Amino acid sequence: MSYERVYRMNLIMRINHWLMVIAFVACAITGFYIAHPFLVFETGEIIDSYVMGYVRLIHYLGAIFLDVILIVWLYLFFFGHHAYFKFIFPFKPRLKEALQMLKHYFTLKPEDRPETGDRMDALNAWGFLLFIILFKALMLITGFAMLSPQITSANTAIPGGQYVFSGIGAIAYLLFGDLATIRLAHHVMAWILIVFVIVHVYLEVWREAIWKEGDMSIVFSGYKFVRKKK
Amino acid sequence: MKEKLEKELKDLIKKCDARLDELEREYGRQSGFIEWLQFRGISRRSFLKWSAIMSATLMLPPVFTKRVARAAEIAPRIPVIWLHFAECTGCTESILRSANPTIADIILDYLSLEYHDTVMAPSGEFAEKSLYDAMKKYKGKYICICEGSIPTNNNGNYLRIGSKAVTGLERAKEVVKDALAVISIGHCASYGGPQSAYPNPTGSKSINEALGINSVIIPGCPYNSSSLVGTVLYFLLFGKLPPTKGGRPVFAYGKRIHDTCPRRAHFDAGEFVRTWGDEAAKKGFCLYKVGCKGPLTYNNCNVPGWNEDISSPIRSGHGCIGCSEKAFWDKMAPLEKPIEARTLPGIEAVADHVGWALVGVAFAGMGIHAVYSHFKSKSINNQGEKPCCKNEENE
Ligand code: SF4
Repeated sequence: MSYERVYRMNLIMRINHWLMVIAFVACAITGFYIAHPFLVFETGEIIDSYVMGYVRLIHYLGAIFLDVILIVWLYLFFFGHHAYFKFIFPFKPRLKEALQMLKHYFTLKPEDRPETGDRMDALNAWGFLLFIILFKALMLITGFAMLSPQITSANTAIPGGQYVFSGIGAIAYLLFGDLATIRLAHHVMAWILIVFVIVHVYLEVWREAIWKEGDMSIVFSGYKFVRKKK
Repeated sequence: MKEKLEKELKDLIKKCDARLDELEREYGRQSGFIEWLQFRGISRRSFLKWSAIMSATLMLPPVFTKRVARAAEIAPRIPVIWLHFAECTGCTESILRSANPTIADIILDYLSLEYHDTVMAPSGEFAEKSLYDAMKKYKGKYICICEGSIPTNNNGNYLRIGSKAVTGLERAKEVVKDALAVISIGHCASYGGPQSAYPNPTGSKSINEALGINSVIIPGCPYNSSSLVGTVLYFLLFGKLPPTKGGRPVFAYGKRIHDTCPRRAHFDAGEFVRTWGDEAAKKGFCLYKVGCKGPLTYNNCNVPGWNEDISSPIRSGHGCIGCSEKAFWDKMAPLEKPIEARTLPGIEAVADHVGWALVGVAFAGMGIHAVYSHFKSKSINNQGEKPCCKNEENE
């Protein structure tokens, strides 16, 4: 039995992935703190602590990282080393492939596993597209809507920055109506993203364990191995 | 840039003066207003101070102080018809019953109220008559202030007013038609109020929604009298209603409670009240954890304050309940718990519980799938195949 080494993720994609992990974890933890301030520092002297301030700063920095990553991701979607859209289009055969992969997760039969060669399978690509784009874009929009009230011409470094925030935030008002619901949506979507991350990690470990093709090393070295056909 | 602004300001002042002159010619200079204020225990000096505060509230430069004072003297001359619909009359009460009425309250008291359901001498037929007389006399000239929402289900039969028992909808349409300007005050008139909270059996709607008009709304439960008087003064000074965002005047509803909160430093420091009356509450820490909705609410309670800046809800130690936001009964509830405690629409469960449940389901599903995969791959192996790949030779 011989293996072939295939290149799956280039450096940019891997950096993007790991930065996303760091920013996501930072945003998740700080986000929970903002929602439930569980650490309470009661010195009574506000000059001594700036906990919420720093936590929110980290949350915003993480969010800005995620936004930039989202833009890079969108670029890679069309022009990357392995352009994502090729994993999703043509629509029909890829959808079939995704369903087949879903079936394979339950039958584990080799004949159910679609032939993907050196590219990502359609199910993964669909999942990433759906969750990363939909939810991260929605997180961005709702986040901007919540940030925009405190952004004025006086405290943004970018000229006209306040219009960027309120303009993008306006989309959230169209979608959810009011600030309280926007905030709730942001919170619910955070949970969905967390569940998505958990399932994603599980599936990658599962592939590593069942397929034994080194799927986990894709995200570290960029390579995996596929068994050569007869 | 500077010259341009200066020129704009000069033009504005000129326009404003011309308008005030015209108004004075039309309504005559208000006599006795200052005496009336003095009778109520307010000196000319405090009146001027108040004018300065008011012009700051309206985001006007100090040169407008004199003009605001002048407009305030004219204000009681503007004919006003004040209508009540489905509501608790709390907005009127909060002004009428103040032990130490503020200048804004007095101006509202002293407005030329041609018709006001709560405070008027005639009753029954005569009250009705005075309404129609006023409407005829000041046709196209009066300001209509609406308080309360309008029930629309069942042809509006849930609200019948006056000796002829007209529905609220009919009354509102009739009066609003000939009004110079319409101002909706209080949460009910602006957004529908508690009676429009889910499930809203009477179909109560805000004035704007029920009549399909675009009045200025001054939400709040009750509204802050300085916002209403500010709107009226603005109207007198410039001849138009103030710029609005989502219907609310920007001068009063341009910033969130959270952005101007006196407890904000404690929020940023991470110092929170955890239960009512604890040590932190005594020190005046932030009320976020006991349900303050300041971060979600646009209003100016903290800036001009209530009752001439004696206090404001947050200053007095209770969190904001978001009473100037649309559907706050549904969206901000429970009012004394953090917004997390709000149940998700449709499933009546708290977001965090749903989140943990989702994580639990994910873990359970993954565990089952992992165990299943283990045995399944074993059985496939036993059949001499491998789960990984097709057409593989067993070497
Ligand atoms: S008390 Fe309310 S409005 Fe004030 S800082 Fe705390 S959360 Fe914000």
